[in-house]
Amino acid sequence: MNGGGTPVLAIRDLTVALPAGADRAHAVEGIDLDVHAGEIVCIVGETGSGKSVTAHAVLGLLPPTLRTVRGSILFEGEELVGAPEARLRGLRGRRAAMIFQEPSAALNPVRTIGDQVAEVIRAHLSLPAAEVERRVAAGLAEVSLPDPEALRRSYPFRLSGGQQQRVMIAIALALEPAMLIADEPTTALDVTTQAQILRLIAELQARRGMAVLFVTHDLGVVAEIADRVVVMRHGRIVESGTAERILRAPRQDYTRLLIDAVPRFAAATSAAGTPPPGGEPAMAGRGLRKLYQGRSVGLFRRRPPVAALDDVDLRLTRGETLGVVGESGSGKSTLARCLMRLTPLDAGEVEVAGRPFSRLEGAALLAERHRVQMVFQDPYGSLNPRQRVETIIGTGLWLRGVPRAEARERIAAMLAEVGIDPAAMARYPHEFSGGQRQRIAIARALVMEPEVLIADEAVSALDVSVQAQVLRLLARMRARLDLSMLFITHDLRVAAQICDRVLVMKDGRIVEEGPTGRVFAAPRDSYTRRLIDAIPGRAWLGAAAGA
Amino acid sequence: MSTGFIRRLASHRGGAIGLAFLAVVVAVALFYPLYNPRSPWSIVGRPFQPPFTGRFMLGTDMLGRDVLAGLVHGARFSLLIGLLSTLVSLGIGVTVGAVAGYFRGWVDEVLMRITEFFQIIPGLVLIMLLVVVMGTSMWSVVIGIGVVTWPNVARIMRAEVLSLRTRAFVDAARGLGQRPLAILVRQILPNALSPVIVVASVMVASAILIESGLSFLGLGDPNVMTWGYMIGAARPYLREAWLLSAIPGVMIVLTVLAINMIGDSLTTALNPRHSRKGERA
Amino acid sequence: MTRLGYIAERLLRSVVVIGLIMVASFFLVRLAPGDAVDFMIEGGAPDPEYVAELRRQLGLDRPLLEQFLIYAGKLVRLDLGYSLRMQEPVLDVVLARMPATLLLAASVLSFALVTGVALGILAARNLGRWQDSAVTALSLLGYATPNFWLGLMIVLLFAVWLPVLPPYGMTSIGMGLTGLQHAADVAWHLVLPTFALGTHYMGVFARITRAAMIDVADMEFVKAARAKGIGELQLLWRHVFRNAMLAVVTYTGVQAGSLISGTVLIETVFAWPGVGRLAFDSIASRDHPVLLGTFLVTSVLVILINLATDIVYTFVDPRIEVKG
Repeated sequence: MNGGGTPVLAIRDLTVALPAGADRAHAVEGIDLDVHAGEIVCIVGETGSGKSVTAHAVLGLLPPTLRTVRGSILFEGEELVGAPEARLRGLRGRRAAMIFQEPSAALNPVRTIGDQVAEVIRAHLSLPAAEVERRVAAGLAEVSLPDPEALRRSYPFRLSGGQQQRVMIAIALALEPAMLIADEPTTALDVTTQAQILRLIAELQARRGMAVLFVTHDLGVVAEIADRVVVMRHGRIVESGTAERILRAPRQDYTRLLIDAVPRFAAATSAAGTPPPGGEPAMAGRGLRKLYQGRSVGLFRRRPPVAALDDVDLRLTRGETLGVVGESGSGKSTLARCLMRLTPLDAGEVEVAGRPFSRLEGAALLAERHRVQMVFQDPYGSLNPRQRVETIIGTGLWLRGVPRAEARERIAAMLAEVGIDPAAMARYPHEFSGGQRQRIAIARALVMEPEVLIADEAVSALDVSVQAQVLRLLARMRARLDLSMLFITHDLRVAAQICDRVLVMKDGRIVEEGPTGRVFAAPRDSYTRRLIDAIPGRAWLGAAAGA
Repeated sequence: MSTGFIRRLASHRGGAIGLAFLAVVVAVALFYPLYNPRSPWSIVGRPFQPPFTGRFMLGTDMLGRDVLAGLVHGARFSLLIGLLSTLVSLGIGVTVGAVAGYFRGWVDEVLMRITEFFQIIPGLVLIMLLVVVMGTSMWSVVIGIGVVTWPNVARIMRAEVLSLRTRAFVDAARGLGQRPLAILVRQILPNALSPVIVVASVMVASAILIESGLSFLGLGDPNVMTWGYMIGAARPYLREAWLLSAIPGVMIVLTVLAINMIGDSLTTALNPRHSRKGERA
Repeated sequence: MTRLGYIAERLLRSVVVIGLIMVASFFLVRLAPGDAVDFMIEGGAPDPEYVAELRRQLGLDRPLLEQFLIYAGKLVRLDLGYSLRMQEPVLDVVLARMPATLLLAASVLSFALVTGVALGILAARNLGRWQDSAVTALSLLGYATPNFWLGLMIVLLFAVWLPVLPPYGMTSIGMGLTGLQHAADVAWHLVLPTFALGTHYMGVFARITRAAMIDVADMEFVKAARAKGIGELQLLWRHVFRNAMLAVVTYTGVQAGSLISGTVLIETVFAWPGVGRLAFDSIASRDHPVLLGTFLVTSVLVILINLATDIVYTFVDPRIEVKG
């Protein structure tokens, strides 16, 4: 497609050493990569693949512990490996610019937006103040930010994540660079915001004929914007080619594994979920309400309270998996915490297996608590680093008065069930990988023999291949133990794959509810429709499933 | 503490030097009285004997007391008072900080205002008042130092507990039915102790400094020979016999330095920020 | 508006702390053997009429709460009692000594801030090199040296052996200097006490600045700024230093109480006619009302200093609205 002409960026045999004592010798090794003007090249890979290191190496922005030991980076024909710092500085922001994963962290909290945009202009050009100001305003307007005049005097904390990333893009493009390097620029954003930012990047790229190097872990995003794709693993390139070819006809097993691990969104839409009709409810909530006090402003004034849950009803039928989807701030996590009795409700009733649950206290609560268990998002935060696996899983059993010896047997059996060697009981969490930890967390919940399992973004922090394994484990356990599952996620693809029914939440309310197949195939609510439209790689996933 | 931990600590150069120095001081302080059981207050010879000249290795002071004996007894009480007042301070600070951080709400509000009060007031002036009110004794000094130094512990403890209590493993324990106090003791405290240990080590050093200041002002226990007292007592003879002031001061500096070096090494030994994140890709 | 709200909140907190100080001082006096009047007049001239009058005034036979209200009422009316030794109201005695202490504290703080922050930046810019080790060693040493002892040693060095600086006092006696000459004379007398007390805080500020600079330099926005092609000096000044200063400003307030404590010792060593020296003298002369008075007045002073740093903070951190 872009075979002809000199590439804007040509990387050859790039090798970056890790500090001594790391788990491997090189962060990346033997990387070959071209990016031409007018094309978007995606580097895709899982944690530890070296994709970010590659991107950071281009402009010499690696942390001091990482050293480029070999290879060449030709940018607009100029060798950057070993180039003096002053020369690199001259190129950064002017000929090649970069945007980052966490826009909120990438902006200086104590300087105004206008100042931070102007800074890049002043760093490279000496222009009269009025001209700088004009360019700042024009730059902010170009990334479709409202009211650029007021925005210039504003500080970053007043902006939403999407607006902050727009500011970062305005900064990056202020001097019309030949190349944009984007390091997971949409990973921290909600799905609808992600879609907007991806569209913005594609638009600006097309208008200016820029070269874009785009790092992501999400094949859906790749499908949305990539012209060509480079798949990385363990610091090496596995395979590269046009997006079309890689996504539809991968040659390497690893690439195929990555693609297969992407949740089959379209599968669910064709095979409509079938909840057991009229089954008895495992859990039911009525009129659930939770207000969060507004943040205090000064001494006596508060912002108006925010309704995290606004009159929510839900019914989880025995044996089904009910998905709760929504963006950040929709109230889905508050719902999970209230059902789990981690956060008190302001109003409403919850019943578990037909018995009241939300009003129990003390010993009565302890007697019922095991019926509802939870798996948390962060596999690193959810296991106490100072406790052995046996204590982590056993605490709940001990509290219920199960004798130690019997508890040990049950822990061992449950560990085996979730695919962890029972000998692991004597070890500490840090000895396990993220996926293994999540299995331990699942074992902790299931050993209590709950009736309801609440999975709060339980696979969101995992790499896509691990995510697929954990999802399979959850589905298997649900069937084996006759569990009912409440599956909370921001990722509609995951929900589509595992849930029988879904609730769509927005601003503390349920905006749509129904069988998964129906909701995804024929959404009735406009917000649901927007969410589904924003799923990255929707066309590709749909086509792949159909093929 | 395991031997592995002590080895890790000693592998930092500063920590090793500090540990070695402190070990020598403690050993001498413990065993010297076996060799010379006489009270450091007893007059043993002619006053103002310079060091390294006569029977007394470090000479005698203005009243003819053995300077070395005073120094050794000073070491005993400086370290003892440092340790005891740190224990007092830890006792108050850990409890207040943990309770405030875990229960939040009005409990936190009340406890933090009290903490703020103790942090804000000029500590030495309060200790002076306490000593005047309770009488000059080792215990009023220990309590006084404990009472003015605990806010720091409480704040650190509270910050740790505040951040730990939002961690998912605490939610998980609540979901299993563990009670608040058990969660605080079993889930949170073991994770919050590293920074407190570091602070405690440095607090022993500050306590020694505060005690020396009090003794220098003549507000220490009148029956106990301390370094600060020695400096204060020799002060009028600064011109004639400056070593009498200088030597105990050097001991304070070296001891406090050693403890701080241990504290610094503890910081790195307890949270090895190994491989500074490296890559995230 | 929000800044005012923030300051109002801090002001309210300060009032609470002042209330606690009243409670604390009330109970401290009750802790003493005998009653409050015994404490007040211990070692003073025992004029039975005055003693009886004082007992009546303080209402020592009434319930505890009432006694406290009487006591608090007096404090609110700025009546800190009467010093029998000095034959003057306690407040007047303490306030007369205040300017000297404020001058010393301000001098120490400026010396420590300027040198400490500079050393901290030097260390942070040369991480792992000899400059860093030197600053670390220097700040440790500054921290470990008792200020009163350092005071004695530099008096020995710069006033006895090399008689270049005055060893004690605030002014040269009997010179009758005025205007600029007087100011220069006081400044000359300030050098040794400032250094003796300031080295400790220099060490503290150097460590804090260094740590804050390292923390900030690790942050994402510094990398983002570097990606804009900004020069290292600009980066250091506009991005790293500015954010690192937030920690330093916060810490300055925290140190105020300890600074006043330090002046007690240093004023005693250098015969500096300030509040600290007054506290020490009042113990020696058993003038307890004055000792209590210095405690009350210096506590309020520290609260005011804290309030000032809070206000400064609102100007360095635009996010003030979202904290609190």
